[in-house]
Amino acid sequence: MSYPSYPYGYMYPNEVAVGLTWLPIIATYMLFVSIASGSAILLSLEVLFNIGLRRLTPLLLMLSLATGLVYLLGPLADLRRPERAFYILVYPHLVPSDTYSGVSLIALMAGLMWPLLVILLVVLGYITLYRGMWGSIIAKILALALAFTCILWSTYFALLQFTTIPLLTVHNLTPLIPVELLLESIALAGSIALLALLVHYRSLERPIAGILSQVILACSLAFIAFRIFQVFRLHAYMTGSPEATTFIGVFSTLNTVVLILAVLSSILAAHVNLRGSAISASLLALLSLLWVFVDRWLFAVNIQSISKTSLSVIPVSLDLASWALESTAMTLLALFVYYVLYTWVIREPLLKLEGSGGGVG
Amino acid sequence: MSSISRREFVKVAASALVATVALSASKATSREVGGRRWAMFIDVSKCYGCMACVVACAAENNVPVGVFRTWVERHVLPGGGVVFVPKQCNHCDNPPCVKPCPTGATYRTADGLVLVDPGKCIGCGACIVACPYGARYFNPLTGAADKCTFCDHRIKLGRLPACVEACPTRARVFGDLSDPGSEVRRIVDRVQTRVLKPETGAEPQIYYYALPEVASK
Repeated sequence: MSYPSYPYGYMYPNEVAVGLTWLPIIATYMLFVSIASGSAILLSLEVLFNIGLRRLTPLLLMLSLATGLVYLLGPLADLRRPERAFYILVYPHLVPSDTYSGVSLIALMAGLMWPLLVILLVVLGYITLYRGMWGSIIAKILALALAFTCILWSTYFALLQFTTIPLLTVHNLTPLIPVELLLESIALAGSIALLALLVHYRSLERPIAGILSQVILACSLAFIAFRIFQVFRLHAYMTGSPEATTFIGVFSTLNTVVLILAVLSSILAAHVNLRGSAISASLLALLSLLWVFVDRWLFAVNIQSISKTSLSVIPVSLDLASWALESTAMTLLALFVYYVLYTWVIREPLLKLEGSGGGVG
Repeated sequence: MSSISRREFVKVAASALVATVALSASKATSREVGGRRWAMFIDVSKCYGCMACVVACAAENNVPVGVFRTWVERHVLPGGGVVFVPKQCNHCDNPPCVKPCPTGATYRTADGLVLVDPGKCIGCGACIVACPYGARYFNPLTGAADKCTFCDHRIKLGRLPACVEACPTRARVFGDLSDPGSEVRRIVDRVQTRVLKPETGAEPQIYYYALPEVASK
């Protein structure tokens, strides 16, 4: 019989036993949340302000629905008792009391917000694409509700981390992390929508690609500025403490990769805006996907591996084979839902929009 | 017609208000009557690391190998001395683990115990992430979150928790903090105690005596 030993510094024995509480599939899940929420935000912006993406709206709706309908498979794969997942709907912890203090963000998101989001997306899609009520007050109210819900949705994991992880070093970074998640979501959704546009029309539709690339550029530049500010803040105020040394150890390398990928994405977005080449648009989608995924991995896996003592890093062995299989399954299912939506639901309104010119108006 | 219905409305509203106040008051009264507050005092200077508490807890609660409801940390002081610090769930007054639980499987009883209903736990791990003390783990046998219960099955029968009963030096003292005559209350009132990580706002209910700074993380 062997006893647990602590060769890595001060940490609690149960941390050694549990390892990563939230499995790496959570990074993929967060990526799906970003695509779904970012696409829905762009869709609602078009309905609210008519920003010139009307011909893109069916694709945005499909992207949002395809990822938004399958993304809960991520946390389902993470649960240790997945067969009880429906308990969130049966016993949702949404009302605080003496016995059950606080409100569970997980219950709020899975039990309340997710059904609401799907309903809002479907109803908004129906009244705009099928009924053509683009400028109606109902469409605008629905779009406003969708935008608010999706902003919350895109920042959800940061809020969950803020309310659960008891590390002060993480809390010190947290004030800007929700904003960064939102910016990343819009940039990523924009890049994927650009790719969908390219696949659907076989070429980059110039005005739409121009607007999208501007949105991506603005979001990625804002993200870079926020993240650099946070790194500066971390080093300026916390360097020297053992807690900060541990945090910087797990944070810095991947954060540098994230920043490099974000810079490359912004350069490509500028290139797409100026030249509009199909290769740079495809590359932009790939780089944005990589950028956001690495950042999600940084927060879902690396930050979680910091011990609750803040003084050491938990030695974790990642089951990358399971993660790869589960992520591939989620992606394939999302592509299937996208295909089904395209074939049976969206094709008709899409053709109608193409026929009418579908421009700004 | 409209004035009558308005009067009726006022009547109904007033009755509802009175009922709500009465319900809240009765709830507050029952809490005061029920009013026990289980807590523990640990004298670090008396612990010599025999691990009897760890073994007793594992045997009493069928704790699987590799995870712990209570454990004893060994710390080396700057001067070279060694201290042993028993740790476990702190049964916090403001428990951070209860808030994120999506199904209410984790809850706090009227007498201050923080417990897990394994039949309602979905194994999301939010409570494990949220506990600042590393006191929770996934039970490999049930898949549910698990932790110290202050041996609620024993204290209901008027017995002490297994770890307290097993301690050969009486380093652990358990009792009702709201009872001025209890031993734990008298000790906590008399000596200078510390709690772990007070900065988290969890208001833990395990009071340490002679806890060195190095072990307070």
